[in-house]
Amino acid sequence: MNLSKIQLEKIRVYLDEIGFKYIDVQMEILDHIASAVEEKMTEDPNLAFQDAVNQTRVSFGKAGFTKIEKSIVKGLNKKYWKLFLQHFSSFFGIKYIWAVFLSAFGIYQLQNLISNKDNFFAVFFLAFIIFFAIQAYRGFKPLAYKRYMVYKISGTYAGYFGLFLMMVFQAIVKPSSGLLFGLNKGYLIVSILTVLFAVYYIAALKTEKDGVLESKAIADKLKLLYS
Amino acid sequence: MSTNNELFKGTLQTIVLKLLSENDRMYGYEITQKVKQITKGELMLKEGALYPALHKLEAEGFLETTTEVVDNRLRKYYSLSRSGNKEMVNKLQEAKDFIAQLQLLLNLKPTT
Repeated sequence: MNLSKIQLEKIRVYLDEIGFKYIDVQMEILDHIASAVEEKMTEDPNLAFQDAVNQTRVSFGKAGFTKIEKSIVKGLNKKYWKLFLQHFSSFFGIKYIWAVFLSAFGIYQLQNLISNKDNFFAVFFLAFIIFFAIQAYRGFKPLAYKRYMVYKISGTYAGYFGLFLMMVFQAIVKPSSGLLFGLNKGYLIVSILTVLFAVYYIAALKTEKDGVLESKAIADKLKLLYS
Repeated sequence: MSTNNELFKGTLQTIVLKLLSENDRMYGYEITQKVKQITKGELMLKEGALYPALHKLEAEGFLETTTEVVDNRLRKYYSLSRSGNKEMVNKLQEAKDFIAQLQLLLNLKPTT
């Protein structure tokens, strides 16, 4: 026998009430419970729905659902960390390495051109303001997928940008003196850090985009269900 | 007498990969039931052990997933990826070698 939409909704509400609020987490646990309940009710037609749910819940054990959620989180963290590393390292492959070097060279030359630390800092500060405006805009966008664990995890990498920016700021404010391979050491460090920051940030956004696409695939199926 | 489940924890990933190699795609509950059916109830694959194994294999890229609407709910199907297929062959060989060593160590006669 198949459970009705009302019965499935009761299981979903129950999962929600006990703290499993992410749709993609709920989805997997709900299907497992519903499949088990359906089988129990098929084997014993006299078994009430709620009794079948209770029996299934007991079979999961005390930490059963939590263990599943934890394994989903652990799996997603691993998956998206690998994706993030793939995106990050792709900039150092044949396809983009020239752009990375060219950008670093451009920033180095810009510092040479401006030659005054305060003026370069002003340019950098302007870029920083623009960057923050973009970040703020992204934050204000309606978070259609905020109830998806996959979206939450894929978006975590973009959250570390402040750390990188602090390092670049520090390198500009307290530049290293001297030469390295015949180049100004201070300018070189700022160039490398700025490019690394850009690469990190683009990789983080690409990872988040992967998460959005995965969440969207589930959301689209969910729409089919309720249409 | 049912088999001690502790004994097959180490081969859980191999079992999942093997089942998925024989079936185009499977969902979580289906895997637990398949194990129960094949072993005639001797081995019970608990949810708390199955899902961590599935999610680990998925994170490592050995499994691919699709989500579909089935019986008024969403269902996540697992299937073997290309690398998962290779991993299954390796793990199966490892398991066979291990069983052969166990037979030698414990002086067991192979079942014919």
